[in-house]
Amino acid sequence: MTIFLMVFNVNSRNGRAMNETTAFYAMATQTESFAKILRRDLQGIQDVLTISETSQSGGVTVFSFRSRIGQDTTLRTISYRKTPAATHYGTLFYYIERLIDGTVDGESGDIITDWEIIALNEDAGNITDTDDAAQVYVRLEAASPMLETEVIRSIKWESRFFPPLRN
Amino acid sequence: MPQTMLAILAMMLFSLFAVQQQEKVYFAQSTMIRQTVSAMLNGAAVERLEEIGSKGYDQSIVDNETVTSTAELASAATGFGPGNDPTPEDDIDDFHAALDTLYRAVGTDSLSFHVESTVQYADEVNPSVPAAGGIKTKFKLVTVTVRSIDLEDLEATVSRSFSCGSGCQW
Repeated sequence: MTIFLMVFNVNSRNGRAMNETTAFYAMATQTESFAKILRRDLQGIQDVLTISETSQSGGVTVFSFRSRIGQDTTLRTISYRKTPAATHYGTLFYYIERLIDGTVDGESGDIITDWEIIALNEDAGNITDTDDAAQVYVRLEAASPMLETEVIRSIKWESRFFPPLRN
Repeated sequence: MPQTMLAILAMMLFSLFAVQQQEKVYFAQSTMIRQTVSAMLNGAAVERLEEIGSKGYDQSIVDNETVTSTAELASAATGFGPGNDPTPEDDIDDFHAALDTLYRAVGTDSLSFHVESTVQYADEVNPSVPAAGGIKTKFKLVTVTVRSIDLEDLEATVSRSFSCGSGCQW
């Protein structure tokens, strides 16, 4: 009987670990796709329209900039809008929508746990005027809402970008 | 006696089973850790690539704003790097063969990465490949490789071509 209970316990622990891995992979893939789009948008950045995220009602924040996407020479207004989604295991999750010229053109899914996007000067210092923007720093942290309090549950991606007009 | 033997056998089988299951969990968790670090490596590589791309295309363009022929480009077709450049790190090819160390915070700790960059002239028709025959062109292909110091076999490589733009007038 004791052996049976021990086998059951080990087996269920293993099953939980496998579920966590699957959930983590799904989240990591989603994060990677989102980061790729973000990277493409920021690589073509021309100038910023906001210094940092501007707050709207309901905990929503928006960061906007103008960018050329891919080979397209048209300058588009791109916004990343963060909206609170739900709390899981004590952590507030957000989703981030990508808007092109005011129209929603994709979103991250409810996996974002931390998000910062801010324009900086040449020395990576804070600015008060969008004309002084020489860098854009972005950091995102994502997690799977299905994972409780395991050691590894989140993935972090951060980078800096340099608007061409300022160089 | 047979009962004792049976109990020992059961314990042995359970131990084997438990070890196997534990190995699976360990493997799954270490894979997740590696994926987390890989995402950091990618971010660090992109940052370095963007930083290099924000510099001037060539020392001549940094100094004179425009050049009218490939002969006026200060960077030789081979032998990029800061060399005896009095103003290192102000144009793209100064970063050729550059080695650096970057850090990323993880909780209260940090991970350190080695960053290496290479710069080559790129083909004008297909800027994603190096120019053949050691010629100077309007594109430079920058490749950045970031390696984890803590997880030695993990690395991320990103590359991008940067155009001379209006600085090259030919």
